[in-house]
Amino acid sequence: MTPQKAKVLYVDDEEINLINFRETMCDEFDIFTAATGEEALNLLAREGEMSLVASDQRMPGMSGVELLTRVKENWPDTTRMIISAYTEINELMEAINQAEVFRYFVKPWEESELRLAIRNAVATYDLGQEIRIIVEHGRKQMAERTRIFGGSNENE
Amino acid sequence: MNKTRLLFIDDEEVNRINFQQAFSDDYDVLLAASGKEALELLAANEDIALILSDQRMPEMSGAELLARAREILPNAERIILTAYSQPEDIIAAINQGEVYRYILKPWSDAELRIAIMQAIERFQLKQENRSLLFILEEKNDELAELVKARTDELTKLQSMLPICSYCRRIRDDKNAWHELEVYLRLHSEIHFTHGICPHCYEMVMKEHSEIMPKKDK
Repeated sequence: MTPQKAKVLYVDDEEINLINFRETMCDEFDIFTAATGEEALNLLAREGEMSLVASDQRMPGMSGVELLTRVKENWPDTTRMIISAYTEINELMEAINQAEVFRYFVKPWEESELRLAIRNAVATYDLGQEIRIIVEHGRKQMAERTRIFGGSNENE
Repeated sequence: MNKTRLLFIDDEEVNRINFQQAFSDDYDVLLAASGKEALELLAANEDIALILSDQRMPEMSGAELLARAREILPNAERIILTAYSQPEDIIAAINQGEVYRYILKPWSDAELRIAIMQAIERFQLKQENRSLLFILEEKNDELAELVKARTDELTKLQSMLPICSYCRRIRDDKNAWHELEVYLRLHSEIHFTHGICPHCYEMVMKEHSEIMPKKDK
């Protein structure tokens, strides 16, 4: 069985960017796309947690930072990234202080650089999941073994 | 209780004094005037929970310093404090420094205090996770030992073995019958070395001499 591709959601109001992103990255990642923040949140509610949500900053309706702040609240393990053509100071600072993004990418992107950043983002997510699984597994194993002893040997 | 240790880096002395005055009551504050000095302190103090750095400094920038700090103390949280901001500086702070907060100077003590508290909470949460992981592993090893000891004891304690009076085979807990040797091999840690007892030796030799009796004659 081939290992499952990591789920990545890309949000941008320009369709050409969505198509570009999907075409360049779909060989390595399981790509989902949305044209607005609202659409992205609906898609996340439907499809479940992603490894990474990458978003354009300036979009009608919800901004990238607003969207990623919501993503942070609802899916805190998901890695967050802004991909924007603009580098306005306030937007940049909000990306850190509100959305707590892992990377800020400036458009137009260089494919190999973006690919590397996505790989890093996915690896960061995977590491978090791995730790979670180990802790959960350890807890279960401990509960099971403690159960075998009926708790009566606690003081041994 | 020990105070949480912070490292503050700024090339202007007045900022270092201000920071120390505002926060040394609640935190154990280390100060550095340059990136180079900061790297030395980082290497010597692995319990630093949070690094706060100015961005614009001669020689090494704040983002550069924090990128290197990530290699030395990857678990410490990072904050940039800066008076002037160029977009490139902020992007470097995100992508290289992986900062938790970006705060403009002059800072308000109240605001900075909240950011520091949040950063430390985050640091401690991650630290707790790591030690939980460690404790779990230890506890699990202990329990695994206990389970093994108990299992060994149980196999030894099963002293009532149903044995067939005729063929001497033994019934296991799944109602299957085994040769004595097979049973012991499966349910104990006994190893077998094979030989012949004097009684059987005599019997075997006798059979042999009966089968090949004419050899000597």
